[in-house]
Amino acid sequence: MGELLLTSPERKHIILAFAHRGEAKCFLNELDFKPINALSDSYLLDSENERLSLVITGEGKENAMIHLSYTLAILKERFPKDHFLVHNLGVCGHLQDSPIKFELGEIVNVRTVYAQKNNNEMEFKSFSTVPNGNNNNKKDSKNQSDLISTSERILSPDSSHHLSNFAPLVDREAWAMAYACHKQDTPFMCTKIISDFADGEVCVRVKEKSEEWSDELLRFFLNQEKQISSALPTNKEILTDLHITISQERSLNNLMRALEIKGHSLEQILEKCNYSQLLAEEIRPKEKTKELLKRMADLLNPLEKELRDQLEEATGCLQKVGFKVRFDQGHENDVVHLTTSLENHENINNLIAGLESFDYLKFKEILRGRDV
Amino acid sequence: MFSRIFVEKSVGHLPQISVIKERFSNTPVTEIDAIEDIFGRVKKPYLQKRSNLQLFLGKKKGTLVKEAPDAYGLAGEPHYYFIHAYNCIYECEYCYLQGYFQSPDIVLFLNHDEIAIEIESVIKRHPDQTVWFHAGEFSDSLALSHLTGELPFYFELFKRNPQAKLELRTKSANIKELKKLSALENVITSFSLSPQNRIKATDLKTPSLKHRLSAMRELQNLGHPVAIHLDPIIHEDNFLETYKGLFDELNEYLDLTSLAYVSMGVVRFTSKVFHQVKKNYPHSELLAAEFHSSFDGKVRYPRPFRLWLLGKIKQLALQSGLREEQIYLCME
Repeated sequence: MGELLLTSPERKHIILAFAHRGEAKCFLNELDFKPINALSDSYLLDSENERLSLVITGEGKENAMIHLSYTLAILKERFPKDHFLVHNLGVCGHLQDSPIKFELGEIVNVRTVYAQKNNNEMEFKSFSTVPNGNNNNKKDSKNQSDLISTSERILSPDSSHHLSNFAPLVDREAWAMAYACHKQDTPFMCTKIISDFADGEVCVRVKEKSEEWSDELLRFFLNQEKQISSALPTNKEILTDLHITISQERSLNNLMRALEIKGHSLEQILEKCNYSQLLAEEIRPKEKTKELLKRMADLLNPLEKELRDQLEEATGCLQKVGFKVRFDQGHENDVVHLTTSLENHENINNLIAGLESFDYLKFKEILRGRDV
Repeated sequence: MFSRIFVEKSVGHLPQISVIKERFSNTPVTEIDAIEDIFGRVKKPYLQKRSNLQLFLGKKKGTLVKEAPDAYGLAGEPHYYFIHAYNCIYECEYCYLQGYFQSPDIVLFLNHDEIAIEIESVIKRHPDQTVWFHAGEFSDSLALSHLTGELPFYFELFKRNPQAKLELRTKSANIKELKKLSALENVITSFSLSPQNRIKATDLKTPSLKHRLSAMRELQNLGHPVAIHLDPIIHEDNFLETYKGLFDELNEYLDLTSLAYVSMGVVRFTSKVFHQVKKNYPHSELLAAEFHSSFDGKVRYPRPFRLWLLGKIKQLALQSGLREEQIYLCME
């Protein structure tokens, strides 16, 4: 049997996104970040197994969207093989009219991020964060909740009451960061510490408490870091003995996943597909890959194979005389498409003989679900 | 069950509101002007129904009774559905509701009197035909019927209109309220059934097959017309044995010859719903199958398989004692 390699040449790369420098203070003090050239307010910590970047976007949705989008684009260009994840950390307000109650200083993993538009209407588009050890959909989740990124810093009682119908937490940036990540197909996480009740007191409290909150967030991040890595794809199974194109790799992964869902282990799949025998065959590596994919598809869909075999048999007389045979996708119609080339008079007679021996009614029966 | 209840001011006075509030006395209640001020204003992830399911109570505005799509029920008769609820407490992996409302929250409409007016107006438009009305297009008809309390009202309505028929579609076994009512020939309770292994794998949180069959038997014994939807039919390796087992169980519990009808439909999705299935249930067995975009743009098995599956199930149904005229194929 050929060697099956688990390779992970790419590195995990977490971008910590903060709106305010105060929120990031302990991260910058305690971890060995270095400024990134040509990127303002952005830092990098490069270790053997992973990279950690830190970006301070500035306040509000516009700043967050512009700064994070730019940073993501630059970092993706600079480290094209890395698996990125953006983790927004910072403070948020708690809407007291919400039936879900939180204490000041409590840390919450955000599950879904909503937004308030500039005209105070709700933005329809929302974004879900990736699970971080606490599955997003589990029930026992006092420490995970939903959040709205508002357009105003201080909310009127009416606005606060209205927003509490949608989520119990508010900030000013998370939705924009999630949107930037969505646009760049990057997973997004969000962790907030409750700093205020969205009533204007936050500005006073930030000065007094910013270091304490930043320290809490750093402690939380370091504890969660192992669980975060589970949200990143790390290993890619590659059959190294085969020549495999990108599209074949996609098919291979899809088939592998589907067969695993049906309870086949990798070893069983390879055994049932006679993989070792296939490797020994004297055909080109490209053909081997094609054949392996066909065998896996047949294993996944035995009925499809049966149908294909029956159609092959029913149209064999046409193929034998030189017709190329094609069917509609999904066999939605009782149609067989035939193409051929004529080179001499003898061809015509052969084709006529082939057509005459074709049993259309039998073919139709197969497409109408006769025992396959 | 619910993390929060929103009550529209316009229905706050209705007795059903007190019943629901009492039943969920620990759930916070918020009064709102209109359901549409909150429900559907933001895209709420479908699977948040597991941890953060909210209940909205109010009035349905706009069209209350709609014409059903082709091949919805028995052919040759006009079919309509009425909307008295959105969304469902169950979680079937193939359910089309996951791509429909952009929110999994349950909405119950309590203006049944207005729905009844529209139903009677439709009946008048078809004086010489049997008009069918289906409840449960966007929700389960019986799952919450002990809370919503509308069944006596609709029984009364269809007693006054014996030329029309009402179908209550359900996956529940909640027949508590139905059992209190005298059976009517023109009110049919139809149960969607699958083999138990499929229920366990894909019909999350729904009652077991045995519970549903027991409920059906009770209703049959009380004289209520009962029907079956074998829908969605999903192929698996031992498909024939599994469905053979299902028909054996049906025969054990029910008098199949007196079933009002048995409909059959093979699993199908709009492309939007299929995308949601992939997103919400990436490890679902449903995704191990090979689907194609079919004649109407829906995602289905290739046609020869669909027809084969339907043919086989129909054959099993006939062998189990059902008559040809009791069987119809749904949405094919």
